[in-house]
Amino acid sequence: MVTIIKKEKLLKYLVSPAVIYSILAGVLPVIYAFRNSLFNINIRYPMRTLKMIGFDNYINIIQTSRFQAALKNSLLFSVEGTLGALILGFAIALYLYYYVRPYPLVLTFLSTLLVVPVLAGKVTNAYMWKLLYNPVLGIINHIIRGLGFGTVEFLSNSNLAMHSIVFTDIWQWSGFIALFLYAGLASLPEEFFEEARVIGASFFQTMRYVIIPNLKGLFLAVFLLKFMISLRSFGLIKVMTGGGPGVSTETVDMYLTWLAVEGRGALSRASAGAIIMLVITIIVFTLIIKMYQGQKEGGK
Amino acid sequence: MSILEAKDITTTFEKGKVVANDNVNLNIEDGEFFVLLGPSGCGKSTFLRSVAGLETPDSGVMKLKGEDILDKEPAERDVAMMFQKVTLYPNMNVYDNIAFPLKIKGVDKDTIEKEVNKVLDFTQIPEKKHSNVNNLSGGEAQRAMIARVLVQDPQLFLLDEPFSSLDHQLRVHMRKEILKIHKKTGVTILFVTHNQEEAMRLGERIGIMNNGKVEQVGTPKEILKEPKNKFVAQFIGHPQINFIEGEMNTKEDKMYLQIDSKNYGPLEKSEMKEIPESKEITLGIRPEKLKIEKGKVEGENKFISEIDLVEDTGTDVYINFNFGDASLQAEVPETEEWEMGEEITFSFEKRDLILFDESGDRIK
Amino acid sequence: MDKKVKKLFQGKVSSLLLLLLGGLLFAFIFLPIYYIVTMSIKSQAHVLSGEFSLFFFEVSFDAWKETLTSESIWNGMWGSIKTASISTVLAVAIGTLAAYGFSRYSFKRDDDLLFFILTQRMLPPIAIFLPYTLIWRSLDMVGDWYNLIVPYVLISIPITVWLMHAYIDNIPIEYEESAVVEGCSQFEAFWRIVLPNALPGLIMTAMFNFALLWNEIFFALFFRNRTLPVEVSAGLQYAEITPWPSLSAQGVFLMVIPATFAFYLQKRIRELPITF
Repeated sequence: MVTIIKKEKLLKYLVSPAVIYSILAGVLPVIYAFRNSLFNINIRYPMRTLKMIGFDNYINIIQTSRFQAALKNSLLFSVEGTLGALILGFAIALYLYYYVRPYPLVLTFLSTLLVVPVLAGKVTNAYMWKLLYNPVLGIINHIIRGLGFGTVEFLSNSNLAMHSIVFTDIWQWSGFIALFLYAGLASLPEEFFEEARVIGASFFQTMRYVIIPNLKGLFLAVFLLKFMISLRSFGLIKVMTGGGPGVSTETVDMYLTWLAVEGRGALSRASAGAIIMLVITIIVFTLIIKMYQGQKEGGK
Repeated sequence: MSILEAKDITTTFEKGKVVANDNVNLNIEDGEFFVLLGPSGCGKSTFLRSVAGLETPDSGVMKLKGEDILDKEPAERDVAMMFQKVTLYPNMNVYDNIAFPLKIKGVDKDTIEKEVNKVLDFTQIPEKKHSNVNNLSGGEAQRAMIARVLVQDPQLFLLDEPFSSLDHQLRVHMRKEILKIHKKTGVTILFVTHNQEEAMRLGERIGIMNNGKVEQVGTPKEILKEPKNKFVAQFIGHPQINFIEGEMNTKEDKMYLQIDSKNYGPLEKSEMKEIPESKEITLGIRPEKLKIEKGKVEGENKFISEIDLVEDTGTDVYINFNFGDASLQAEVPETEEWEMGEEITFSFEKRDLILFDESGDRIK
Repeated sequence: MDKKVKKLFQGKVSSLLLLLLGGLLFAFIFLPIYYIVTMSIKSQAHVLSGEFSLFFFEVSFDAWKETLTSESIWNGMWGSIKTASISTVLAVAIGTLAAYGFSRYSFKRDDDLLFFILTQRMLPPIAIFLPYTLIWRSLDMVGDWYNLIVPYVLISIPITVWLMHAYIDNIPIEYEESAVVEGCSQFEAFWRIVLPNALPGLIMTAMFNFALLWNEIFFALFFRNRTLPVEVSAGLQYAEITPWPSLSAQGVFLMVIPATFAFYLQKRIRELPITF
């Protein structure tokens, strides 16, 4: 990095708004939330004497089976959704790069279409797919019935529901991710591909030895980005199934909000749950990044 | 038999608007180090890539060891290619990188080990076998790239300006390396460059290209001493050749060259292999062949001028001066002092002259 | 000759397959959108009758009439426009400055600071929404539309920094250096040279942030703010029989504005400068 003018002061002005804002708007509320989690605040009984109960809330919530189920759902949604979108996105990116690139108009057309689901947003997409999955009105069931099978209850079957929602999420994001990965492919020097051609590497060998290793950083960045977004599955699921049938599609953020506001108003316990999620997220994030950095430097 | 035979290769781009290769005819002999030289955009890279199979000519015939290859995929042709960019795979160590082409072809592990080690010794980097590719120095990376090409044991080794992005020292070093390797293995090499010094040093034979056409093919000496036309003459040789425009006059049996109202000659008709048709002639003479004397010296075939600029590179001294419309450069001994504005007399031997008509040359 | 024919045939078959794949891809993305759009111009009666049709149906604009005359929908629209635009402008301003700082200067622990800013995106909204609600309550600001701007800017800064960081890195520092030598102050160099060059990146980041905020529903819902997604999702709650055309119309209405960014965004994303 080059410094044009060695004015450390200027630097502080540049970065500090972002940092200060993040501290004020992000860190302080979290600290406040943490503080809350150590008490027994309940929204319904704001006048009740506050008792400092230490980490009881944490122990309590971890042992709650509904929380555990919600945690499982959150993880399922995040991991399945992210991997699915990444793999499908990569396949689409390869298709675009190898076969559509010579036709710029088609490329532009398809790319524009691919971005729309993300821009459409969770509510619209939730409506869209609720409609598509609908037993009576949905296209999918229509086709399934046409093929001779019985109607599938995508969103009312507790075993199927979560996966149906994950598929919607994959649908939403794979096109968008495909474009990012396409950018990565396009930035690989042409010589890499030419060399592979001359040597005689097949498509899969080229993918395995040339493309994937060189794009590892990009894959990681996209994975983390999507993963973080997945953890906020609230809007999508709330509209699609409301958490049901029963609580089979309830994720952690849904459970915690219910806990804090609707159910029993156990604000402190919900705060504890939120802090737990935050810690888990940061740990996973850091671990993955450290792993990647380690690999980058150490080589084999 | 020639390793590579290319007949009437024509390649165009953008629906015929750009003619990259225009009826190119080239033969490369077994074990030869052939250099394809030319300015940017002359079509040399296009030709090389056509040999590799990365470009498809519109028409023509290309045979590798007697077999037609234009129909074949790059992988099916028995060629290996080295690019200007470093294309080592960053996730593998050196050994795996070099073994890669063999692995693709399905060679068994033991043979791979033998071949890779052989080639590692050859390029003198056996100790780097297990290093990650990111930790190699520039020179080591170049050698690893060469090793990867060598291990494929190709009929023809294609290099596309491989050293153009290296700093000068490394570049000079790599030239020596590639010459050594060529000597040791005897592999046939087709080397593309725009650097004429590199071509002269490396090539056993050089093919000069311009605007899609092959201007001349020959040994470095041939090209230097007997350039086919003005383009070749001024592209080759450092510093650049001097051109003086003049006219050919015939007086009885002898011919005189008239430059700037002074006559040079006589040239015996018998000394000429061809009689020029046109009166307008360009004289070509290389800077090192100009004889310079200080001051004004009278005499036949001696011309007077004034020094315009003195260039002292530390090892050589060049003076620039004008004669008529021409701007000339001559090499002078550094043992003497030369000053701007000094009067000098220049002359040259008949045998050092290269004459050109409107396009080609005539041998003297 | 034989070989040539074989290749030609292989070429035709494989290009047919590829065309098919392309068609599948197109259908995959397009069909759901097409379906909701057509649903929005069907009549409730048609829906109740249980008939399924993709192309041939009676067109009815009832759902759209209802949507476009609904006061709550327009209020929501206005609310969304206000909050999303103001938040985007603020976030892009703060984030771009920070990105410039990170890009041009290296300083102690700059990696850590960057990491810190990026992690703001990871905060579970539930963790911070509760404290926010409590603060708004104590300040008697519940339900005021500008409440949303605070968390919205917070979560938009990380993406802005990430994207602009990449863009600014790609602007050669030599431009600023020559400007400074010619007499510009550092700030002028930033304003006159870096920003104009980073404009495509800025627009892209702004669009991206705007779209994400436009669709944001969690904070809006729990702060009891009236933004469009909130209003649209509310439609689900009241009816016994789901009014699909009506909901579809609202859904399409919701996505219209962000969808206009699609053309510009796709080009920018595809041409992102990715370095290794």
